[in-house]
Amino acid sequence: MRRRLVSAAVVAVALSGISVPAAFAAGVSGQDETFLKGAHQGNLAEIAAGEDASKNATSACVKKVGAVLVRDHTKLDADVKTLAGKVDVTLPASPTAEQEKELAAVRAEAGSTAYDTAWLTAQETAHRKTLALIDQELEDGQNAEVVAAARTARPVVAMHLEMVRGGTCHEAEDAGTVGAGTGGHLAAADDSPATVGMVGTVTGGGLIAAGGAAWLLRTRRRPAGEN
Amino acid sequence: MTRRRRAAVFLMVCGLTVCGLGAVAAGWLTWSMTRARPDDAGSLPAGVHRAVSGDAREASAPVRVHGPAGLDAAVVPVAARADGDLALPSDPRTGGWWSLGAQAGAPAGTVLIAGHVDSRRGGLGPFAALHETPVGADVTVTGADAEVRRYRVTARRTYRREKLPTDLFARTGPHRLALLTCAGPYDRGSGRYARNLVLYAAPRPGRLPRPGH
Repeated sequence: MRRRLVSAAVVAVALSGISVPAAFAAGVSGQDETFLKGAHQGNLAEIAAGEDASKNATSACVKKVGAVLVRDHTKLDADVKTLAGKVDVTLPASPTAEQEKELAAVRAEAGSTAYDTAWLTAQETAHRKTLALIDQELEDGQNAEVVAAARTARPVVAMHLEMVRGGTCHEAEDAGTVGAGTGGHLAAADDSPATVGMVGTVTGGGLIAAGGAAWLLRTRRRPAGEN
Repeated sequence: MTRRRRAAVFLMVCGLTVCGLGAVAAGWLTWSMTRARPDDAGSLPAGVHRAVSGDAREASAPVRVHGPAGLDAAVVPVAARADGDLALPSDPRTGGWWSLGAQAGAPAGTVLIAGHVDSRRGGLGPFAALHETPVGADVTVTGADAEVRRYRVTARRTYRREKLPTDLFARTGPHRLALLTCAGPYDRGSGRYARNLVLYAAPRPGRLPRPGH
C-alpha cells in the first residue's frame, strides 16, 4: 500500500513539473509575466522612438513630446525591471520585432516633412496597444504588485496618448501644481468663530470707547460747577 | 459733585475709553491673525536616510495613507493633465499618488500624495486632517505589497498654488513623503483655494521585515 502511495506521489510531482513549468520558474502567473515582458518592451520601444524624434522631428512640439516619452518611460521601466527581478521574470533585451519594424518605417521619413505625422500616428497606435496590455493585466492579473505596476503606468500612458491623439501634436506641461479643493468648506470652518469674536469685541470696545469719549467731551465743554 | 469725585470719575472714564480702544485693537489683531495662513513649522527632511536598506526592491506603489486627526484614505496613481495640474480623484476620500515620483519605501526621491481638502457637496474630506497634523506626528503609507511604511512629519509649509516647489516632483534627493492638500484663502468667484499645505515627513526606521526575508 505504502509503495503504491509513494509511486503515485512521485508521478504526481513529475506530472506537475512537466505541465506547469512557467509557474514554477517565475513567481507569478502567465498573465503577470506577459504584462511585465510587454511593458518592458513597450518602454524600450517608446524610449527609442522618443530619442529618434529628438534627432529627426521637424517641429518643436514633437521633439518635446519625444523627450517626455524618454523621461517618463525610463522612470516606468526602472520600476518594471526592479519588480521583474523581485518576482523572477526574465525580461527580453529589446522591443518586439514588430515594434522595431514600425520605428524603422517612421525613421525612413527622416529629413522630410512627413516624419512628424508618421511619428505621431505610430505613437497613437502604440499607446492604444499599451493601454490594452495594461487593461488586460488590471482585469486578469494575480500578483498584487504586478497589477499595481499596471495601475501605475496607466495614467502616464493615457497622458501620453493625449499628446499624440489624432496624429497631431499637443504639448503638455510638466506636473507642477496641485489644485486640491473646490468646496470652500475649509475657509468657512476657519472664519466663523474668529469673525464672530472679532465683531463682538470690536463692537463692544467701540461702544465703550465712544461712550467714554462722548462723556469726556461733554464734561470738558461745560463750565466748572455745573453737573 | 465734589472736585475730587469729579476727577475720579474723569479718570475712570478715561480708563474705560482706553480699554474700549484696546478691545477694538485686540479684536481686530486677533481676527486678522487667525485669518492669516497657518504658521510654517519644522524643517524639511534632508540628508541620506538609512531607514530602509537602500534596495529599490523594498519600494512599492502606495495604496493607502493613514495619520492622526482622521487622515485615512485609499490612494491611486495619478498623472498630470495637459496644464500641469495633478489629476486627482474628484472624491476627496481617495488621494492621488504622482506615479512618476518615488514609491513608498524607495531609496530616494519624494513620494507625493495629495487629496482634495473638500468638495462642494461632500464637505471636508480626510485630507483636511493634514491641517490638524502637527510636526512630530506619525503617518503610515501602505504599499501594494501590503507592507506598512512609517514616516514622521518634520515640517509644515504653505505655498501659493503657482509657487509649489518643483522638487516635490522628483525621484532624486533624500527619500521623503510629501502630503498635500489645499489651504486658504478661498476664492468664491473661481471656486479655488489660493494655497497648498504641504506636510513633509521623513522615513522612520524599524519597519518589520517581511516573513521569509
